[in-house]
Amino acid sequence: MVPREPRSTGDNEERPLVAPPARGQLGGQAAELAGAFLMDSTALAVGVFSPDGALRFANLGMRRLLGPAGEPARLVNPSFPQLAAAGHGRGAPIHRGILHFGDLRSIAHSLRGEVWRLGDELLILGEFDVVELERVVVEVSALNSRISSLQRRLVTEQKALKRSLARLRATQSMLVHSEKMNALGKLAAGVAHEINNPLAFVRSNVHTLGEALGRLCAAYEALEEAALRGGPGDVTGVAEALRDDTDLAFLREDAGDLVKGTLGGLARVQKIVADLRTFARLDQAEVEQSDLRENLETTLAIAGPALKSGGVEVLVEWADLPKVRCKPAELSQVFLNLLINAVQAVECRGRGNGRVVIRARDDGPQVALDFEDNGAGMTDDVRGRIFDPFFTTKPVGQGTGLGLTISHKIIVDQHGGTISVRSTPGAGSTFTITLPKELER
Amino acid sequence: MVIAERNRAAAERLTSAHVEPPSFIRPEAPLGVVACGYLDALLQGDQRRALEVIREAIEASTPVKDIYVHVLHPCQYEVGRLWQLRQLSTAEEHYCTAVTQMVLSQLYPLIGNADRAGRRLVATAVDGNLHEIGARFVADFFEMAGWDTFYLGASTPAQDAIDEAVHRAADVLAVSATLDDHLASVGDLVAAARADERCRDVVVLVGGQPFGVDHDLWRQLGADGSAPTAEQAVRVAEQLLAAPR
Repeated sequence: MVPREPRSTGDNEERPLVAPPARGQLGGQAAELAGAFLMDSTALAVGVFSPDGALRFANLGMRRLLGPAGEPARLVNPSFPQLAAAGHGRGAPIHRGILHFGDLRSIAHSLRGEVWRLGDELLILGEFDVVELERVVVEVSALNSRISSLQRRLVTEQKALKRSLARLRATQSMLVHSEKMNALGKLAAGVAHEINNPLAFVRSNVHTLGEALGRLCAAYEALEEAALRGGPGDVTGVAEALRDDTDLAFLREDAGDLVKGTLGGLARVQKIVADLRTFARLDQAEVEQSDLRENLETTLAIAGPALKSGGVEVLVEWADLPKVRCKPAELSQVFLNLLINAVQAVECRGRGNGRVVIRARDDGPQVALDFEDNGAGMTDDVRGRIFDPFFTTKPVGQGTGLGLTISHKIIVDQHGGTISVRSTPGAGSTFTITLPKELER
Repeated sequence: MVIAERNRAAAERLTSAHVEPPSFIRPEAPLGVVACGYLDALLQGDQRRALEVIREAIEASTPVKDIYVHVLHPCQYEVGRLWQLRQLSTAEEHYCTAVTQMVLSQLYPLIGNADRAGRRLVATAVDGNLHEIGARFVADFFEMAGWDTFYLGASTPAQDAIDEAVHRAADVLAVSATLDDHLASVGDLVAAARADERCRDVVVLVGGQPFGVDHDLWRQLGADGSAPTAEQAVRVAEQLLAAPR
């Protein structure tokens, strides 16, 4: 702020602001022109009033301050009653200093000026404080530019924040996906075995079918040759011989079995691939009315090989549950994370002794799922940190430390449910998930 | 020395009313009607109508950039011209500029989020220059080109501008002068930037009315480049940064 200059209060002014023109100084045309200019001026206000405030003469500036004709003049302070009571001044103004014009509804104006009592009339002379006005313009301009700069910075920062948020979301989605892939990776060996098995017998079946087809084609060619070369008796003889040679009865039965087996094997591969694809889906899972049991069974199918190879017994105790509005693909990921953790936890029991029990129950407005294992269990310290990002008890390179963080996010943030854990070191752990039956959206 | 001569020349131009420069606003120009409407509202002191004219243009899907180039830029030059011709008072000029600043504030959030160019600009009006709108135009055009911009506003002391350029790791420092009186400050700032090791790689662009009159002035003041409009300043900056230095 520019420091304010001391402002006149009226009492200690020595010289009138508008000195009465000395006789002979301004006259003739100059006085006329100056007078006319004064009449049209709005920066200077000149008015003559009766002591009760009735207007007798005013220039444009004074009329502008007084408001519409016919309404009380808007001189607020000093008021006309105050001026009427001020006496005659005896050669000096009866008021000198600030004059306030305006009313409660209009913009107030403050002018510097003076009031003279001349006979039975009041002469009011005022001028706008130009120095003050210019200072206001400068201040307001500076303020305006500061506000404008601030606003610009605010918007810039807002935009930068939006960009950061978008980057963060992209990174998060990448992390979630890589954790998914990580979980799948752990199962890759088992899944490969699952695919390899049917693949091996499909391959063998197709090989056998190929051989049979070769034999059939040869028989057909022998028949054709006999038909072209000899009579009907020859053809019958050849046909009978061929039937015995190629063992057509067996071939027919065996080919049917081979085709059936091959199709069955291909269907198994197809199912595994479909399960994997459902699981690995990158697109944001959609909300649908879903059967949790089907969901869990798909997950068990993917995890099956890993469970089998570890000799882990899986028991599912399933109550009657209604379908739940949820994001099934996301829930599959949670189930898989919990299953993988359980399988790894029961490794300490030795092959064939690990046990995972999955219990589902209807719990009023929500359903509850327990994943109970008889694994190593956790200390309180570990239990308190398992949902923290990047916290892992697995050797370096084997766990991202995101599995349970993401599970927590899916259950709590996306489904409005809860995920909690009870654990006894040496006895095992139980993860409990609750899901509201109706997903609030 | 250069500056003293220029100041004399400028004073002569200002006082010789023989040649009246032509108006910057032509109804037949692109968005000329919008520019006429906007200028008229400004000169009438009708802020509400001025904002309305811009709002209508935006609603008619006029790109923000076109409003800058064809409406705000020529109108601001026209206000300057009328002030020089003594047809506008300083207070009126302040008023028009304040309204345009308000328009800029309202348009700024609408500037598209162009792909980020990975470049950074610090823009400011030079020490003593209270007319900051030119620097702001420049900053906004760089923003439209995907730069990260830091706009310091009016009358920034040279050292503050340099410190900010260093702090923001700016590729370009753009400074504006409005009157010939500001040229000494531009020279001081360029010299200070050159003397500062931390600014070795910062491209210094200068702009504003005086540089449009004397096309070689930026070189004499030691800057890296200059451009007659904010839009061209972006191109000059990109060319300078692409060139081996």
